[in-house]
Amino acid sequence: MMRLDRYLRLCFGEAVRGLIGHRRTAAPAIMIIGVSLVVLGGFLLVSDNLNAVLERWRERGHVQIFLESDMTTSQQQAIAAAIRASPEVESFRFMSAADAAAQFREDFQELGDLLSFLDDNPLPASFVITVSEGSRSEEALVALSQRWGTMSGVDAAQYDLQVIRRLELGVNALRFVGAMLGGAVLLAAIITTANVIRVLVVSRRREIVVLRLVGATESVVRGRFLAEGAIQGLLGSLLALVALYGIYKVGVAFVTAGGGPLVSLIDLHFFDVFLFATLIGSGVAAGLVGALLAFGAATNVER
Amino acid sequence: MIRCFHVTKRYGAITALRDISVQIDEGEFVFLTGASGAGKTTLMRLLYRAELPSSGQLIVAGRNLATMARRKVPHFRRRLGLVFQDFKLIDDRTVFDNVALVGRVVGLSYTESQRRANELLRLVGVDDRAQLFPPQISGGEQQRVAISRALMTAPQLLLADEPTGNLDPDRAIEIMRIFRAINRRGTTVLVATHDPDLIAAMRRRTLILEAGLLRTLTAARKVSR
Repeated sequence: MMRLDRYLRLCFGEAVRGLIGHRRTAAPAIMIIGVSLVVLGGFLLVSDNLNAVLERWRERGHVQIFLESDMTTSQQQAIAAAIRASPEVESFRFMSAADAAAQFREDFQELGDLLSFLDDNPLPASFVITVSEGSRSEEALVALSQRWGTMSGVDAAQYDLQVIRRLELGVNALRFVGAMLGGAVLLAAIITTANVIRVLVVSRRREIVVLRLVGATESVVRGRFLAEGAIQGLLGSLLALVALYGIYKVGVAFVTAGGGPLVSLIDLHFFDVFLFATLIGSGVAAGLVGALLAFGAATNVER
Repeated sequence: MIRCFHVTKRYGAITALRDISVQIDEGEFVFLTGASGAGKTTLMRLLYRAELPSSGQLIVAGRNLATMARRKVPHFRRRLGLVFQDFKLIDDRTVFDNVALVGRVVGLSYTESQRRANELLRLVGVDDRAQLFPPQISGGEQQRVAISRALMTAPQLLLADEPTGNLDPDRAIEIMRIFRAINRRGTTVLVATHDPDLIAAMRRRTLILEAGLLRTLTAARKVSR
C-alpha cells in the first residue's frame, strides 16, 4: 500500500504536469466551470444579501398605524396615549402627511415629482412604532396590529412581516431559478471536463500502458486524472470567485450610489466562509465528476 | 521461477500456443526463439499476465497466474522487469523521468526514486543522457534506458521481448552483455529473439517455438542459423 502523502504528491504532481502540457485543451473546461459558478454564485450572492436585508428588516420590529384623514386631534392624542401605555412598545413617533410626502420624495427620487401633480397629498399621517425585542414574533405583531387597527381614527395597521413574507417568496424564487440555471450550466461544465480528461487520457495511452506494465495500480493510473479534474474545478471556482468579487464591488457602488428606501437596511457582504467553501467545493466536485465520467477511456487502454 | 504445465492459448479458431510445458529455474538465462508468428510474444504476454492461458497452469515467481485476481496483477508485475522491442519509453519525459517515475508509481519516496534512477542509468551507461528526451538519443541508448526502467523495482525475473529487434548487431551484443550482467546479479532472464547469431554468441539454454509448439530445448550453440 502506497503512503498517502506519496500518492497525493504523485497524483497532483502528474496532474499539474499534464494540465500545463495540455493547457489549451484544459482552458475551455476551466472557463466553463468558472462561468457556471459565476451564474450559481451570483444568484447565491444576491439571495444571501437579500436575506440579510430581510433579516435586518425583520429585526426592526416596526408596526405602522395609518390614521384616517378626517381624524380629530383628540382622537390622535388618544391613540398616542394607547400606544404609550402598551408595554410592547419600545418607541414611537408621529409622521404627519407632510412628513410622509417628504419621506416619499427622499426614498423615491425619480417618482417624487408625482406628488406635485396631485391636488391633495394622498399619503396618510401615521404612527411608526418600534416594538420591543421580546414582542417581535409574528404572533405578537399580528395581535398588536389587530388591537391597534380597531382603535377609533385608525384606518389600518401594518407590520413589516407581511411585506417581508412577500419578499421572502421572491428571494426563494430567485434562489430556485439560480439553482436551476446554475445546475444546468454546471452540468455542461461537467460534460466539458469529462471530454477534456478523455482527450488527456487518449493522448497518454502509451504512458498508461507503460505504467500498468511496470506495476502501477489502477488507483495510481486513475488518481492523476481525478486530480486533473479536481484542479480544473478548483481553478474554475477561483476564477468565478474573482469575477464575482468584481461584480460584487460594482453592485455595492451601484446600490449605495442609487439610494432608495432600503439603503439603511443594506449592509452588503461578499461570501461568508460557508458559501465560499460551497462554491469552491462545487467547482472541485464538478471536476471530479467529469473525471469519473471520463474513466471509460482509461479502462479501454490495454492492461 | 517459471513453470508452465500444458499451457494452451487460443484466439478464436487460431491456436497460438499448444500444450507448452517448460520450467525455468531461478538465476537462469534463457532464450526463447522461433520464427515470426511462432508464439514467442504470446508466451511472453502470458508470463507477465497481459493475457490468461486458455488452458493449463502457469506459475511465475511463485504466483499461479490463472487464478490471480486482476487487482493483484500490479503487485505481481513489480516482481518482473519488462523490456520490449519498441522500448515503450514516454517521449515527452526525460530519460531520467522515464526511469524515476517507475519508482514513484510503485510507492518509493521521491528521493529514493531519484537515487535509484541515477544508479541504474549509470549501470547501463546512459547517465550522461539523463536530461535528454528519448527521441534525442539512439535506439541502443533508448533500450538501455528501458532496461534501467525495468530494473527499478529490483525484479526477480526480467522478460525481454525482441529487445534487439530495432538495433544493429553491435548494439544488440551490448544489450545482451547488460542482460548477462543483470543475470549475474541473480535475476532470472528470459529473452525472446529470432536472432540466431545473438543466441549463438551468448551460449545459453534456448527454447524453440514452432507454430505454437515447444519443439526443442537446446543447450548453447545448438540453434541452427
